[in-house]
Amino acid sequence: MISKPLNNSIITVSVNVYQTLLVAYPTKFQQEYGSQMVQVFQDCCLRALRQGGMNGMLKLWAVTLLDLIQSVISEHAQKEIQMKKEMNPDDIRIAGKALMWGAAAFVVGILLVAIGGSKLWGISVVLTHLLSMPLLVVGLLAVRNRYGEKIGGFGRNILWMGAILGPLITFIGLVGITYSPQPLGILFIVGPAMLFICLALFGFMALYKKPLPRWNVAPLIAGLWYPILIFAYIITSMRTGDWDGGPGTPQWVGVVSIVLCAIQGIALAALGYILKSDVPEETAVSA
Amino acid sequence: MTETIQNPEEFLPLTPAVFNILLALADGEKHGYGIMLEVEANTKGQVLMGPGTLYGSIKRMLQADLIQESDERVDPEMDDPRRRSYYRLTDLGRRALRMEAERLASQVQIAKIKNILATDFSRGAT
Repeated sequence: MISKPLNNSIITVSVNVYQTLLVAYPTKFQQEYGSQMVQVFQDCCLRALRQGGMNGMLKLWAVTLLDLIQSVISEHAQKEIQMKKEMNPDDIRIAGKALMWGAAAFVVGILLVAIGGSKLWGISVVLTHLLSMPLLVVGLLAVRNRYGEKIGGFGRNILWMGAILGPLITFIGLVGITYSPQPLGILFIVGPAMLFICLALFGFMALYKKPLPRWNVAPLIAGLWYPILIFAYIITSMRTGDWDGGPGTPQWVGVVSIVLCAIQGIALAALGYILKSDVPEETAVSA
Repeated sequence: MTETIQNPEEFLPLTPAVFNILLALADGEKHGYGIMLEVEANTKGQVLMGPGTLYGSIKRMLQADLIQESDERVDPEMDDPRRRSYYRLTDLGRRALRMEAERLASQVQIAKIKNILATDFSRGAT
């Protein structure tokens, strides 16, 4: 027989532990049902202890933990589905436009530095990094949201990774460039490349799964060229020791780079156009 | 303002949790713990529903308009002064429950025709 004060403390500890575990649920679910769930769990504790003593409590905890794991997974999955369903048509259109404007800023930024060299470096950085990158991230997250269900887990996660790693690496590079242009400053151009690599990998999946209503090759073309150019630049510079693209660089390299970046920009804009024009039909009817 | 199309057939087949919660609410409104006890009693302890499954199902059933929240009040039968949220069936929920019960009954009927139930009962009896 367990004494009443011990009973009370077992219940108090159990309820406190359960209350802490509720943080695993999505915040909105916690806010709406957390207090009721704690109340019900407390009732269950009282009954389990009264009817089965410590064994009853252990059995209750076993059932509750299993239930917690299952329902936490279920609620997070529901939340994701809900977010997909609830993406506002206007938001999709805005994200599509963001992708198109981001593509334009990116291409213009590359062209400026290719034509004007170091004189226009500052404006180019503003366009390609500060303006284009946030717009591209918004657009790509919307692409993930809109087509993630069809492309599968890998495609979804890789775009998510790109949207996080791209800006993060760029930021580290931006900070690093003031202290050590090489090697930390290299991250400044590797950041966007990381974003585009992830888009290209999404593009490979898109060729196979065909999630877009048309032009499923667009994400691959939109992601492929900039990382290849950056990779080639880093390899060449490491071999020659010249990181400034000195006079030894053949002119055709610059021309090819501009053409490839322009193709990439067009593909990005096309992806934005697809997103903008592929707004889901309303599932509800007006009363 | 928008309203969703409400056809109980769209919800069939109901999950065991949803069916049991609707069944628990069929004879009147109950709070969460009351639903849990009723489900346990109705299924002779075979369905043990934890708070997570219970309120996850309640959330989805509220969204689907199968049940509605009635009010918050103290349960006079419990030695607990705290107020509790009560839930009750909607017309849609009652129709969905009836259709699911009919669907299950027709399955039982097929089992009877195929002598499945008779065989099991005789085994259980011996």
